[in-house]
Amino acid sequence: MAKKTIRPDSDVYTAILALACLAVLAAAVFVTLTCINYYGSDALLQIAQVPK
Amino acid sequence: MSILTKILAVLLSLFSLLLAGMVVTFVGNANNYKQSYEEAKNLSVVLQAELATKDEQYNVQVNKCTELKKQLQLELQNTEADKNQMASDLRKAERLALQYQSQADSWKGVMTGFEQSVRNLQASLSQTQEQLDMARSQGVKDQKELNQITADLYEKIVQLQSLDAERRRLLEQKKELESLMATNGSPAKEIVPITPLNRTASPATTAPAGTDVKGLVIEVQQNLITLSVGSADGVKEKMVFHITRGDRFLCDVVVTNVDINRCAGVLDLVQQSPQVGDTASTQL
Repeated sequence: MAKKTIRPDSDVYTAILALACLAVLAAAVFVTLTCINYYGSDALLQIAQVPK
Repeated sequence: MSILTKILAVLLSLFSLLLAGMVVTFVGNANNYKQSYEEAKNLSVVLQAELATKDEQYNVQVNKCTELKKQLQLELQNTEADKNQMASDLRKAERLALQYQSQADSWKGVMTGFEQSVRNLQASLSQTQEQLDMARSQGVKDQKELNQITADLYEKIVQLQSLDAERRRLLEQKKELESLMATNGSPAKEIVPITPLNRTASPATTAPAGTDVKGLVIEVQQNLITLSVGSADGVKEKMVFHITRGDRFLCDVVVTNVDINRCAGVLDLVQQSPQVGDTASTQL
C-alpha cells in the first residue's frame, strides 16, 4: 500500500482553526488567572464541589 | 476536504471566538465576592466592637439613669413631704388669719364702742368741767363774801372791845364819883380812867395779822402763778401762800404783785407743779 501524504487542503482554514484554539486557550488562561487572583489557588480544586 | 467540513470549521472558529469573548467579558466584569466578604466581615467586626462599646455606654447610662431616678424619687418624696407640710402650714396660717380677722373685727367693734364711750365721757367731762368752773367761781365769790364777813366780824369785835373798854372806863368813873360823894365835900379832881381809850380800830377791808387767807390758783405760767385773792382780802406784797392739793403740799408762792381781787407771785420750794384749782392759803 502506498504511503499517502496528508496535506491540508488550504492554509486559510488551518489558520482559522489555530486562531480559534488560541482564543479559547487565552480565554481559559484569563479565567484561571482571574479565579486565582480572586479566590486563591485552592479555589480551582473546589469549583466542582457542592457548597455545603 | 468537503465543503461541509469547511463550513463547520469556520462556524466552530467563529463560535469559539464569540464564546471566548463572552467568557472574558463576563469574568472581567464579575465581582470579587471574597474581597467583598472580607470587607463585610471586617465591617461586621468593627460594628460588633462599636456595638459592644455602645452596649457598655448604654449600660453605664442605664446605671446612671437608675441612680438619678432613685435620687429624683427621693427628692420627689422629700418635695412631696415639704409640699404636704407647707400645705398644712398654709391651712394653719389661713385658720390663724381667719381667727385674727375675727379678732380684729371684734376689736374694731370694741374700739367703736370705746370711741362712743370716750365721746360720752368727754361730753360729761366738759359738762363736769363747766360745773366745776361754776363751782369755783361760786367758791371764789363765797370766799370773798366770807372774807368780807370775817372783816366785818373783826370790825365788830374791835368795836365791841372798844365799847367794852368804854363801858369799863365809865364804870370806873362811876365808882370814882361814888367814892368822892361818899367822902363828902372833898374837891373834885380830874378822873383818870385806868383803862386807856382805844380808838385804833383797823379798817374793815384789811384782815388782821395772823388770820388765814385762803384762795385758789386761777392761772399758772411757768414760774409765775396767779391767785384768786387780792388786796380786798388782806393780801400784801411779800406775803407767802402755801399751795396744797388735798393733803399734799405742792409749793410756796411769794406775792410780788397785788390787785384788788387777785394777786400774782413767784414759786418757791417747789415739790410739785401747781395746777389751776389748787388751794392757796397763808397757813397750813
